[in-house]
Amino acid sequence: MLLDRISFFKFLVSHKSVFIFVIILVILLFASLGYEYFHGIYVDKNWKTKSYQLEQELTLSIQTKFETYESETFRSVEKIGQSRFLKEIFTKHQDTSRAIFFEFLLSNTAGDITLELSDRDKRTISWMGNRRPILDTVNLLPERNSFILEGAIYSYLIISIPIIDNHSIVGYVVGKRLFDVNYPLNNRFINSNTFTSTFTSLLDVGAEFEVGQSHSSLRDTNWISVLLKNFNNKLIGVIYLQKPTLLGYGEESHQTMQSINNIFILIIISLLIYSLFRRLTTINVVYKIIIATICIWIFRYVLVWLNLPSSVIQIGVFDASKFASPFGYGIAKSPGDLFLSTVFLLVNIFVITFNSFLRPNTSQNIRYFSIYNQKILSFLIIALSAVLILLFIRGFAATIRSTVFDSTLSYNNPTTVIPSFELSIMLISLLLIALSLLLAVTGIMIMMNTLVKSQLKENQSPLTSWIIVSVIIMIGSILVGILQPNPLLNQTARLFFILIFIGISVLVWWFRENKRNIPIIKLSPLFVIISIILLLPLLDVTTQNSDRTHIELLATEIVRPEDSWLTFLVNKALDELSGSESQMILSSENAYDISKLAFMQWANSILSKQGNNCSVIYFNKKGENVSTFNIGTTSELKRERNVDSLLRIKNVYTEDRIQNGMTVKWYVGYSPIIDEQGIVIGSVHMELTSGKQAILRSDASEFLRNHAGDTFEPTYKSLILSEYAQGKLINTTSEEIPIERPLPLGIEERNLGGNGVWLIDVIDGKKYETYFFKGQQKQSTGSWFAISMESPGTRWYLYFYLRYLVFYLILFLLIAVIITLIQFIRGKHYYSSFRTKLLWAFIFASLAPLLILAYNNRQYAMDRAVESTIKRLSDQTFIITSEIQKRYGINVPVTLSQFTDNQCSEVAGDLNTDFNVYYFSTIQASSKPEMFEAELLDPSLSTEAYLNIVLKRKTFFAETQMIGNFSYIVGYRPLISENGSIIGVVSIPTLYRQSEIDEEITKRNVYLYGAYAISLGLSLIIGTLMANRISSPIRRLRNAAQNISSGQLEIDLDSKRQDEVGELERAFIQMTHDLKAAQDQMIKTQRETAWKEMAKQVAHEIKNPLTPMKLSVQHLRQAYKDGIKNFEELLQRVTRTILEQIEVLSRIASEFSHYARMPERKLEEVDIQLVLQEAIILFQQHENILFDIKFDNASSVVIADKEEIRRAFINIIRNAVQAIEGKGKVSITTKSDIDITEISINDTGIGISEETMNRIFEPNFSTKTDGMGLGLALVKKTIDELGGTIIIDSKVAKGTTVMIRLPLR
Amino acid sequence: MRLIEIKLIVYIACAVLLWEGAILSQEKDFSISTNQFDKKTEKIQKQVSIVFNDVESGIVSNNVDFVAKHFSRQIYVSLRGAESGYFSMNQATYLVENYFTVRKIINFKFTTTKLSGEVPYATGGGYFTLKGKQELFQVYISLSKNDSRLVITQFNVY
Repeated sequence: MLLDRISFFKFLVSHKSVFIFVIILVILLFASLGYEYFHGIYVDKNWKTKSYQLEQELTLSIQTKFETYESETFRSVEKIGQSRFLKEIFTKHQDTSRAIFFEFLLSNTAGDITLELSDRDKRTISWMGNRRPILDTVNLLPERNSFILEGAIYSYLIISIPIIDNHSIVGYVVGKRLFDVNYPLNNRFINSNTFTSTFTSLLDVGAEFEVGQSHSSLRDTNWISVLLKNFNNKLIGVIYLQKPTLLGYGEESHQTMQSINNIFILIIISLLIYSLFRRLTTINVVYKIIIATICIWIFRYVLVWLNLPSSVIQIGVFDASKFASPFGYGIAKSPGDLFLSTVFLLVNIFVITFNSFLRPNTSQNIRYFSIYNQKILSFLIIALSAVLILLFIRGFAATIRSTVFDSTLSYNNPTTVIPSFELSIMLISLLLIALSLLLAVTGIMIMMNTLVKSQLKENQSPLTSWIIVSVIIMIGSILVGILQPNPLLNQTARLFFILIFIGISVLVWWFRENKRNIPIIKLSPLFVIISIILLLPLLDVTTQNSDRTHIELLATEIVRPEDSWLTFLVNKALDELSGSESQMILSSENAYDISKLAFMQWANSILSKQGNNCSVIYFNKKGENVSTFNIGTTSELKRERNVDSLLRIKNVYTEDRIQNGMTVKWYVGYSPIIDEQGIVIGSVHMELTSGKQAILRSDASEFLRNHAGDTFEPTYKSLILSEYAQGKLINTTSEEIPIERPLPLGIEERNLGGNGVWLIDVIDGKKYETYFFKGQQKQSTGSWFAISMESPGTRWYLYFYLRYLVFYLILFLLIAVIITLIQFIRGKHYYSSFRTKLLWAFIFASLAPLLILAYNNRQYAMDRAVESTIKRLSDQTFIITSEIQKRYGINVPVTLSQFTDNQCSEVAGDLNTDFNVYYFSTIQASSKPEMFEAELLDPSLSTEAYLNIVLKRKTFFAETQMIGNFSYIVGYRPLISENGSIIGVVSIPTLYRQSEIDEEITKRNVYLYGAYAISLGLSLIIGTLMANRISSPIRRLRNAAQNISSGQLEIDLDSKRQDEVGELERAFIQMTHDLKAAQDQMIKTQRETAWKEMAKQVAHEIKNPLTPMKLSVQHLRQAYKDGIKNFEELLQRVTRTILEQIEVLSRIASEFSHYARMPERKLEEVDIQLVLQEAIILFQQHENILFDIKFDNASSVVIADKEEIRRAFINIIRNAVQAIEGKGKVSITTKSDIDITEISINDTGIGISEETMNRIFEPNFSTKTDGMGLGLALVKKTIDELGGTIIIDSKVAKGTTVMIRLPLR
Repeated sequence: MRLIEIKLIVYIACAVLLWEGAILSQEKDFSISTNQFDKKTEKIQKQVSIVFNDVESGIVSNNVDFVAKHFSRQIYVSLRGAESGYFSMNQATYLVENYFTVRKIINFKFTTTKLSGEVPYATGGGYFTLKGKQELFQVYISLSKNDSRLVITQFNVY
């Protein structure tokens, strides 16, 4: 089965199948293009039918969704209404205790559905969740009912069910579920999980919703109206959908088809590049590098061109608002694109460096760069390399700068320990860039060192060349500092980088020199750690620079003389606020609609989209304030207004106001509202200020703003704004900075550029990084402003680094686990060393308690923080209840019912705490009334608060509440009347103090994780030391054992230890001594035996030719004595025989000599095809033998001793030639694959018998009369030692094939 | 030295120079000759006009480079139905480009311009199609002096 899979895989990757796939894909691509074209024509002609069909599909889809949504809600509410227990308590307890109803609701929740219980007289008796908008009791029917209720921000689906017991109604249960957000607000406080959001996102259509029992006639024909009917078949609302248009449909279809086509194109290009890559394995390394690099980047740019994968995977990681840089012409236009590019970069750098500098067995390769006789060229290349390294370093710094400055991601947000997905992608990308830099520079430095070394004398120490390389680069670094106007990194940082690069290069070089093969996998953790060391400090510094830039930007906003945008905004907003909708509502007599007019118009206007602090106030024609909405402002409400002016003309102006001691510019405007008959029916007044200054005054309400994340402030340190006049501090937002503090000396002199000055300002021992900048003349003559932030301490840095170290640690553990799993599935197993196991054991042993401790501490700290918050809320509610009772005499219900928002704000301002006051269970006043006006906060007391404070009469209660997806704590305290009864409740939500809470979380994280960073660091250092110490004797023993196995019995072991390991070492030493003695004896015996054997063999071999020689000489002497006639002829014959035998003797001596003598092997690059050709030439004089040579085009360069391999081929070809009797053929072919070359030598000779074949590689075995039988033995020895294989296949009388496989370079 | 060795070295050098070129391209200074801005109001107004014309033609021809070359290093961008906030010049370029890639401009013209003062600005409107629907859009841009250059510090589409 496995074999089948492998065969199938081989087929898949074969050239033929790639070609077939490409053809199929091209056909599919054309088919897709054709479909798009003809479909376009078809749709164009039949658009009416198509659009009708689309409209029907949309309508049906939405109606089905609504039915499901309604029935789900109904079932949940019905389950509550049919509760036996509820019916019982309605029957028994309705008039006695309401607490039981609250408790019932608390224990019977219904998911995201808000519940209300009413009695048989339709009076609300308990509730759970936001009660707004208040339900009209006429909707509580004796049968089930369903309708949509529209509130200020949200619309709800309401389901009411009568609770029936013994055939009579005992009460009603009402369920409210979010249906729609009425206004385009989008922040974390708005719950966007509504019914309408589900289909707008799914169907990708623009939709608007209207409540009511008839659909609007105002809608034009561009809208489809989808009627929503309840389960009583009654129309309860209409959803208006934008009609599909031909152009829109065409664009959508085109985009879909384009995505599919892009994927086809991508796969085709991938297959072609893959095919090319397979060919690359057989070509020269330099061309391989060049072609691989071109292919890698072509592929990357194809992705950019096709806008992949961002056009298919539309997630935040491909969002340019997170990060975008024009670097590389589009390869870094989002975090995801940057990540892809860095992966390609790393692969590219790896291909280059591995193939040129770091590849194992490349001690010869490095000679490429040994330009022994070209000193000037060598020097130029060394200098160029130094420049390249410095450019690389600068490029790295520029990349880091871009990833921080061209990004809205917060690299140093300490409130969360684990970074967001987008930030994680950026961090991984940065690490890959650092790793690429390290690999590239290491390769270049090794090359430089080789070049320098080639110019030095051979007896020079290896360190000399490294010292020279270091000096050259350092001089270059200094020159860069002098010559380059913006080197991005200062001299110290550059030297730090260079020292690290030199260190790692020397290490890699040392490994390669001493161990021949670089254990690149083993070195990879070291590379990664060093990359992190290079990356994090630079990232930290750049992030801090980015924070400073933001502060400088904020400074320019603060002193901006005139903001034409805000003036324009006021003009534009006034036009919108006084439009037809305002006219319609003001003309109507609906008090609720009129009271909500300011909020509704604000929410629909440009103001809500821009999010400035502002006030919108509507006046009726009598000049009476009928509707107000404030966001981030309260104090201006009390200002006197000229009502006559408001009703007459439109006017826009600016004015400076002092707020909280600071000068703030306000943009004010008003406009009359005129109906269709030209009669003034009211007016609108609005005023707004820049949101930027508001940030520093802590009164910015972000709940009602879009894009709440739009802030300048670094989250880990709160900013302080101070104003100086005539050299003294006059205003500040901090309570810790004393008023009248003098302006630091020398500011004026240092501010020569006029852009402001950064200074470390020490106030009461605390260090502040402060930016001083001059106020504008118009705004404040001669004044200075200062924005300060507390300097981050050591703990902050520890925390910053620990967070990222933990992130990278988790990342590598994940990668390690995945790789191990993949290898395990592929049947490979890794075994770690004893030291590694020991190290992991130490790390886990120390980390496990640390992690448990960290978790517990965090939990404890969080619990303590909550407790502390609750305690603070308890104290604050006590102070506020006392204060308002004392200041306004609120001791009876009547006085409380007259308590106003402004009174509330006064107390809140004085006590610096925002709060709400409830009259019995309903909101009476608030220092932040806009939250209630917008119905973001429930105007009714929460279920639990009502239960605990009002019904159970607790003196304080705290609970966690949610607004959107955001949770916060609220503290409640009752307002007790003189007679001891509860007349109201004061609540303080932590909602408005989120920045303070974030700061507390930050401080806590920084405090805790700083300590953990030290503990983690110590654990790693101590663990490594201990693991080394314990495992060192074991490693020494292992090395000694390895030496012994390789025949080296001279070992050096320290046996001074007095423990078991020491005894083991001593026993090992003794064993080695015994082994050495035995070995010496054995060698002696073997040598003697060998000599005897050799002598015997030599004697035997010499004896063979000596016999004919002796016989010939005897025959000659006898003939001479006999005086035979043809003596001369005989002499010729006999001497020839003797000479032949002498030749045999000479060859015997030569072969013995070859076998015994092993000259030092001289390894070099050898082209097998060239060597074969040289060998063949020697035999081509044989006229009867045809040489058939077929060499493939691929490279067949191996690392070998050229003479040795040539001898081997000569031996084999000679055997082939000698095996042919008469005419025959010798076929020689070569074929190279990814990493091997295969040489086949085939002859049509007599072949080899099976018996002979079994002994063919044995020394001294031969079937020839004139040979020693050492030829093939030598050939096999040569091939084996080159890491190759030799196989001989032969058939008697048919021929022999010798197949040699050698590893390619 | 063999030809092959020279090729390898030349290749690495070219690769690095290309890389550096790519890095430098992001820091390309699009500055207009700043000397022209000094003293004379007319010249300033002329330069302001050039910026406004570039922006107008950039929007009409959907060529963001015309607009982006006048962006300040940090710019406030507010795009209706999309991103809003302070972004770097590089980021803002992509955001505006992406915004107008999916919206096909039919026409656009600045209707109000203020060429003088410390904060020159221009507003105007036009129509684009989005998903086949024609929509009205308005643009507001304001300029500021930054290191003696007049650059766009605010770009609003509302």
